[in-house]
Amino acid sequence: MKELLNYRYLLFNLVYKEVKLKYRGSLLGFLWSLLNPLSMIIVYTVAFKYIIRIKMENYAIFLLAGVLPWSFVVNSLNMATSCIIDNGNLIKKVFFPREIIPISTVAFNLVQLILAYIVFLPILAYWKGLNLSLAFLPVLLFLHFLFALGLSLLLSAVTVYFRDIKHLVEVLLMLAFWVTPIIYPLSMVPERFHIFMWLNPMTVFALAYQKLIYSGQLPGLPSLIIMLSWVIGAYAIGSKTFAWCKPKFAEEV
Amino acid sequence: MVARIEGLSKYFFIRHNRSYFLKERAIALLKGNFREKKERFWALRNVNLEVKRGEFLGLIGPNGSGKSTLLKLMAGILSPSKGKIIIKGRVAPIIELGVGFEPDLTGTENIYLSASLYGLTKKEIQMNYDEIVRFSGLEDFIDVPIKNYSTGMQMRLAFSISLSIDPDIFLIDEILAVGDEKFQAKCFEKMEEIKKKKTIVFVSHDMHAVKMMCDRVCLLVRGEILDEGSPEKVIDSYHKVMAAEE
Repeated sequence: MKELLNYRYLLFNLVYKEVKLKYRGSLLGFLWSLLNPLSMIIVYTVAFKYIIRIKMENYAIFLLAGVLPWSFVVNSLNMATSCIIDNGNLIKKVFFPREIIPISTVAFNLVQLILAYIVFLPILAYWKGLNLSLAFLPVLLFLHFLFALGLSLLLSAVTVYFRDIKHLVEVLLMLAFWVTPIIYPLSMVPERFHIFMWLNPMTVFALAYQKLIYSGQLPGLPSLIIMLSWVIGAYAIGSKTFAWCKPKFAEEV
Repeated sequence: MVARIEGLSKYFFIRHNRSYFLKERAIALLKGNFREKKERFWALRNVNLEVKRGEFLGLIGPNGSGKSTLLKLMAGILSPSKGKIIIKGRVAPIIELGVGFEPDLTGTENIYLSASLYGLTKKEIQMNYDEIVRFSGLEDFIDVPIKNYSTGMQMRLAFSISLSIDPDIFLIDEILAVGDEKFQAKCFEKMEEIKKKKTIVFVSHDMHAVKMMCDRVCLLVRGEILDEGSPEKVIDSYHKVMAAEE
């Protein structure tokens, strides 16, 4: 842990590099990071306000509340599966804490999510007004970050040994999108299936974002406890597995 | 004593039918040969070595004799299969070509990226920045993306960055062959200066440089130390080994 702190500037540089290289050579450059979520927000709003008229008040806001953090997790995990292999060149040549690589991957995606909120929150303020409960958003983002990081540590390490996992994760995440209450509220799901919904760790996060952004309420204590258990569980398993796998990375990538 | 290596051995698995994919593993399982065909290749066998403070140690040997593996073990990139390595102080990363350079970033950005990869903080890099640029002699190209650099220019930048890390042990792997004569002379001069207070482990096939620079030389052949001692003596046995292999 102490060693990781010494390398925090490397973490910053790796994230900076990703952000910079993502839009290299384009005229608008960094602005795309803001234009991208903006266009998504506009498309959803137009589609669900004027075309597909869902019988739910402010459905576009509900949808965006769930979709933005969902993309954060999906992009993090999809990038995480290949991040050790992609950085094989560094791993084979320099000694540095290997954890930095998955951490920078998730941090890069967190930056993308925060940029999306920078676009989204003013629009939300215009439509609905801002609520004091939004002050809890940074806490939720931090917990979500740790959860995604735990899974990313796990996936990045095991993919070095089993390359299928990359493709498996892509398919599973596509499935997971439909069994997580993102485009529909949990109340729409028949009561007897709720237990299965709750077995999905993504559910508790999606509901918390919806509560915060759509309903303007804080998540309840039970859901916070469930969330914390997922965070601790994912992080414990992820960091253990990663620590166990990492001595051989330099030989396997 | 700055580094001690005791009974160090390292093997790699050579896999003849390595399957990274689950399907291939499953098929292999059905066919009854789940165990992959793998052999142990011993890159280093029972190496014992002591490096003293302020020593300039040369490592020579034919290709594939384990010199680079030994450096990687000392740098902490690989972990030993047997034996141990005790190091007192900070080890510089192996000085090699363009480690961690990102072709699309400029020279300056790469200095920051690459130096932070070696564990330097922002402050430390800022303090050393001018010196790095000055030593590399790339003042005019420092704002240009690295992809437009020649190999020699990239190497100059890499070497200049490594110098700024201020470690106790330098590990140098066959690097100086790329620079032009002027830069080589500059590097040798710098190494003479470093030598006074730091330890250097130097891998090279350039016997002239080894004879000129090293206090002591080790000859590695097939992962074992065959000879060690004064440069003249060990270079002589190196030539004998090479002649015998022909």
